[in-house]
Amino acid sequence: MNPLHWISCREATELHSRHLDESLGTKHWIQLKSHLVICPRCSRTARSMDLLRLAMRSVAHGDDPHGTRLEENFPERS
Amino acid sequence: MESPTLATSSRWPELEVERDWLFRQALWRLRDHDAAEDIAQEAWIAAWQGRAGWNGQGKLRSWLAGILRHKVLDHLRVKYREGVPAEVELEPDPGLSVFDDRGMWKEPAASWGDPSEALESAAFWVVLEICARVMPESQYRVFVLRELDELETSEICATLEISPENCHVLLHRARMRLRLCLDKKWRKAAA
Repeated sequence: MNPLHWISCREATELHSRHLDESLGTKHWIQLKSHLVICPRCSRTARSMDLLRLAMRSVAHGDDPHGTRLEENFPERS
Repeated sequence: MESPTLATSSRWPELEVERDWLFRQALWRLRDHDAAEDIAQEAWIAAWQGRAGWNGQGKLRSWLAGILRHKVLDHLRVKYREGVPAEVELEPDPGLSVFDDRGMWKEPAASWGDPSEALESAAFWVVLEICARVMPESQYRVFVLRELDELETSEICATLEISPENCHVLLHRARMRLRLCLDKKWRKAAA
């Protein structure tokens, strides 16, 4: 079997999440990238996870354009 | 220590204008309006009292965020005296509902389109906040430390006293849960 064996979509999403937090080893990095090239569903999921990071970081830096709406979704206790 | 008053705070107007920002940051981290007000106020006072430690270089918000993070963690330590609930085992893996036995998607993942357009979309932010509000505490706590406070996973492990593997599992589940929630409430609702 090829040492860089095919990984499932579930494994690919887990690897992508880990990739957001730390460097992957060469084997896992190649497995992830090759999977994303040929799997549109995982590619979409990876891009959405990247967008979540972008969104949260923009919140942290006060760049979220709708920050003032926040209180509407976290209402005061009565 | 000197407590800030309207008169004293006017001597540091840059800090004064960050009150709302501090509150919003606290609200994102605590998901509790009243607690966020208290913690934001504590952080603001601590910043005023520690103003000698502000060297004027870098971003004021970065300095304030560090103060706020400590206040939030102190608050959570009191709230969860026996540790943040370890919901890894208790909370079902969101992946269980979307992958089949072979680990393949059961149904197509929705496209989120152009990221810049999403970030400009009011609906995206409203749904993101709603989805964040209902996330399990343990997942949300780790997610916030990673994505809002930008801590490395080793720092998160040390802060929350959890294992690196536990941390990765919580982060992945948090991202998947948010992704699925936004899929359902934002993308598919808009389709």
